[in-house]
Amino acid sequence: MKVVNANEKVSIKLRINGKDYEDVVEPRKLLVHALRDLGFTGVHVGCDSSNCGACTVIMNGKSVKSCTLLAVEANGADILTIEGLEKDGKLHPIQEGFWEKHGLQCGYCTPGMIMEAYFLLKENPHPTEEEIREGISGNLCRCTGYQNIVEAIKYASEKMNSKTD
Amino acid sequence: MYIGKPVKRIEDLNLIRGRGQYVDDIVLPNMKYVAFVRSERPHALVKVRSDVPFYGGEVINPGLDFPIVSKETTYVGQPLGAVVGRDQYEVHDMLEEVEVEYQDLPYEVDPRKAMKDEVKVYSKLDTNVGLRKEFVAGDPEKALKESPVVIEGELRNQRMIATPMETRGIVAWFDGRRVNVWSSTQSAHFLRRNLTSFLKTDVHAVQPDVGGAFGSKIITHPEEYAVSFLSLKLGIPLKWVPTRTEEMMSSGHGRDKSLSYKVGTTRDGVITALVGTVIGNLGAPYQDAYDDESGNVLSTSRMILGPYNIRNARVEALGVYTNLVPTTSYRGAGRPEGTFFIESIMNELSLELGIDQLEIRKRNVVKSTPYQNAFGITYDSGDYTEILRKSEPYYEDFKRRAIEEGLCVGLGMYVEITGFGPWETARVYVKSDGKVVVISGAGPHGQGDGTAFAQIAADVLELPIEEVEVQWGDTAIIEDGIGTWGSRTVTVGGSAVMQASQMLKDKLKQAGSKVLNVDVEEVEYEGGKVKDRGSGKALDFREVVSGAYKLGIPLDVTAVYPVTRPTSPYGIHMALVSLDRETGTAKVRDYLAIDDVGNVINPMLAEGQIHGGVLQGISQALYEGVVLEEGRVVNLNVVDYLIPTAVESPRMKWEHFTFGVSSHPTGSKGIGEAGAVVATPVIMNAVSQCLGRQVKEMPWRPA
Repeated sequence: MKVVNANEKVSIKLRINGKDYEDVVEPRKLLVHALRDLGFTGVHVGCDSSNCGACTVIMNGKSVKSCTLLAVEANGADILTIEGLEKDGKLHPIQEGFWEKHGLQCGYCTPGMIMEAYFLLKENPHPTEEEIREGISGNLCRCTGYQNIVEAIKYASEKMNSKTD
Repeated sequence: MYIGKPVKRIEDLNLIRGRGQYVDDIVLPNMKYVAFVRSERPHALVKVRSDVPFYGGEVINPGLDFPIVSKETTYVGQPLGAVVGRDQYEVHDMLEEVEVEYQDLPYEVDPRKAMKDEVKVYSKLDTNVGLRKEFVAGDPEKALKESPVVIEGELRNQRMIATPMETRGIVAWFDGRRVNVWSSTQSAHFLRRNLTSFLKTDVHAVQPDVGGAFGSKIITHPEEYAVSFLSLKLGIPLKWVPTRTEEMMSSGHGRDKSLSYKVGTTRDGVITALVGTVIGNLGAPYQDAYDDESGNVLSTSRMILGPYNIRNARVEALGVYTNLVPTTSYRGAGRPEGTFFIESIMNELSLELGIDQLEIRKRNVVKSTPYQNAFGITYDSGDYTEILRKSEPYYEDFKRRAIEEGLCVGLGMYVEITGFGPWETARVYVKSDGKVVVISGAGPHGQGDGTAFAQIAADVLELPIEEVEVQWGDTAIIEDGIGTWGSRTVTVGGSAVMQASQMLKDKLKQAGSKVLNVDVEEVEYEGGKVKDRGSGKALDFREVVSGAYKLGIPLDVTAVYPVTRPTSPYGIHMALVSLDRETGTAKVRDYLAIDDVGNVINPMLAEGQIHGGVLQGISQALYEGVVLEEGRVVNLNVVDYLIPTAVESPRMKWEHFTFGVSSHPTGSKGIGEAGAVVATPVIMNAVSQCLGRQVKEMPWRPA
């Protein structure tokens, strides 16, 4: 059993957007801060009580609030952040949907919202409007009133389905 | 033409790829972190003992308690001083090493009690009444006496917290010559002016990407003064970003006004007199906040007359200090409270007199514009009767559905003041390769004005929008500016962009004529080309520009657009609301906004502003509001202070008409705040219609 004391640091490995990173962190360091310190500043902090979802990333295939995980807990994990969504300079259909449907204003909730939508559409490629609203209910937005975000996710769902069907 | 089209945002490409740069994304070499020790008591004398270096009011503002407390704290959450450390973790450890000894003093958080001056909110105040002004027109007392119908009561518009998804935050660095700051603010220029006068040092201010504000980032906050000061004193770059709890206990508090009223009407529901007292809770006496919020109390009081022809009126406006967070602007900044008051009264009259909601508004509405309301505010243009007529089929449809589906209909009409002065700037220049750069003195932070500016400049210069780049938020790239608030940016900032673009077009024409070696009268400018009418020879845009550079003609102009008067949009919104008779839970089923905001520069963005504003307005009616216990706000996170999710948000539909344009070059009026101004009474009126009595406190809580 490995034991790390409070004032010690520990070495961790993270696979982020398909690349390997090594980091040395205090055990108390939150994953969100570790990701931001590694340069993934699209991952945002919007609250201190795990409600807002601005820090949402995909970890081992699941959407997680990275403010509610320790970096050491994520050791060895495969993480996808907003920065890794674009492929070969081409926007992901969800990103495209947010642009087309005016699904963002200040843009602060946007990375987390897009990652949650990514997870939602993986789980449920044909969500109803109600399922979309439920699906993003862990992600707060103060600017848009959500309607255009729902439209953006519908747009992406249609586009992704027409590609794969 | 790009103006009038739903052009997709030029802002989005970075933001959807995680490439925005918000203040906490900024890292400077050797940067350290700041955290603030905050008062845990509403009113007390404080003594601080610290085992770590501590910078209190005696260091930052000796002998004073603002921006940082030296001796006497006046609200829970007030900064008592700062510690500086390696990172967020270390500074929060350090806060544990600071001990505060409180000597409690009597406090007051209820403005009605504070007005009596039995308890002083702050020992240096002569009175807790910070603002007292009366607006009178006609003979309201006589008219009231002669009115066959009189209703009276008290309405409360509760304290809210703006809660932008990004908190405040600042990075400050003294480079040996001037203090450079990057702040999550609504205006770099306004911040610069405040910091320069506080520090007595030149300041360069940058507004990076900002994660929303809704009025909460207009003023310069105590922490912004303190961190800038410490960067100067310590000579190292400093960063401060508060936690959400800290943010909610110290910033963004708005609204919090009440109206006691007597309203007289004819038996037909035509208002003959309105007499009332508005009491605004100013919170603690922080000057920057007072300068902001006292104007909002006056806006509330003068806008109580709404879009209605009320000639006998008396409103006393009071702003009262209490031991709460200093109150500041929140989306609408005083106008939502005024609109809530008069629209609640309209609905109460409808219920009391048994007159249909739309009908009673028709009987009272202003008949023609321009119209000066009894308290001197000019409603510049539009047709209020016509918009009510246009709303009728929608209203009939809502009424039909209400009967069929067991729902209730709420209505709210509004008139707004937007496009405040005193001026705004725009600079436009062309790079030697023909790329046009537009710089605004305003400070967009989500509203998408950058795209609207690009549309305006591209139209004036007759160029593809891709050739136009828009920048803002840096005091080093444009002479000066005012900022983004008061739904002013597209209209006032856009008019400056329009003028600067026209000035540049004239310059391009002159430069083109010099390159062509003919008189300026001989050439015409079309589609970015300058053409000699005589010879038919034409230069394309790039040839004009590179020619101008070679001839030494600078292509760089700045316009300062002065505002002579604000402009008034108006509209009518309606909602279908269900009320569960068992649990009392209200839910918005459908929402329709009908607005006249003059020329619409970009309908997609305008509608986005309505969606966002309406949800904030709905949320004030049904969800949000601070909860006080023993002088402190106890719901200081987004669990207990309910910010609506996508599940609570209804579908919203937007219709717009242009019966009246503004006198500004853009012809536009502001829409940034309209949704939040009117949605609150719409929802409360629907709930009241369900219950058959007017509900006068918010948020609606099942009894």
